[in-house]
Amino acid sequence: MVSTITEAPRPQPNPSLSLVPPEPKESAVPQGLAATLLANARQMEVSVLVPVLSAHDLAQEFTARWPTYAALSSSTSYAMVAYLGIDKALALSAEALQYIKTVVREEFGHLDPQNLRGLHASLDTVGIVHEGITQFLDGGVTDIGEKGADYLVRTSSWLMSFWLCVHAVSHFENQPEASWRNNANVLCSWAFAYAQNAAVEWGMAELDLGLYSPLGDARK
Amino acid sequence: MAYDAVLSSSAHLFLNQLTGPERQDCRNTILHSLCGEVQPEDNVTRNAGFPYRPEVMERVVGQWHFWYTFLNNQTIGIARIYYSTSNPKHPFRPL
Repeated sequence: MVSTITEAPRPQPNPSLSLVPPEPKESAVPQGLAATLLANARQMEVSVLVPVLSAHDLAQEFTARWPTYAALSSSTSYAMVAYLGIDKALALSAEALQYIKTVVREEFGHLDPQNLRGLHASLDTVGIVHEGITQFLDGGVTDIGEKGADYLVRTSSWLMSFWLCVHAVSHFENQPEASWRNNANVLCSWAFAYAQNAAVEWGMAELDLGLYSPLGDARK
Repeated sequence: MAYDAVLSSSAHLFLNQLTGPERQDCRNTILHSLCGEVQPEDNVTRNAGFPYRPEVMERVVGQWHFWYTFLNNQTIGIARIYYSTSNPKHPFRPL
């Protein structure tokens, strides 16, 4: 009789539990920041995106999960600024926006075409707001006053709601459940409304700060 | 009375991404229609379901949708411009 000894498979280290840091990779994003972004993204998926997409009452779930999303999103923004500085963080955000536009164009064909057009338009709108904010920060304005600060808070709230919609929609892939698809389509139209509101709030802030352009001599 | 108009940076950025004829039409609409039509007592409620904010007015003129405020008794400030629902570029306009 020939006996064979089969070696039991060795337990593979779980990367998420390993105490040994992974090999550093060539990346524009520092390793510590990448870990924070990844951890926040995982937390966001579990505690916000999946519950929102699978909700029976979308509005109620959206409202209930918003504070968690805002906390995770703020934590991500603070980490980006802390690691990269404001200029690089803004540049990375602009790059991320372009990436999301590409993903939406190429991979979101399963959504209602009209809602998809709304999502494209809202991404363009948020791009304009982003550009306005970047120009504002480049101008070195430090004292925006109480009213200006109020507008900025409202702008960021609308942007937060916009990004919650976009993140949730981007998390939805080809899920078989019709309710997920319905919720994703509703979130597309909400994203459009939130983007419009963010653009109005930011435009108001600019007017309040005196950052405006005359129309020139077009009346002549 | 006819008001003068200034644009926020965001409205200016939107205007600049339009094609030449669109940009001219939008500017003409502001200067020749909107500025003559607005009244300080205008107080149009924004989208139902979103917070009401009395200091921002909305008006659709032709192919354009404007959100504006009165900066003083001679000037309106346009916070935001977008396509109206009659504009073929509005994303929710039926094809």
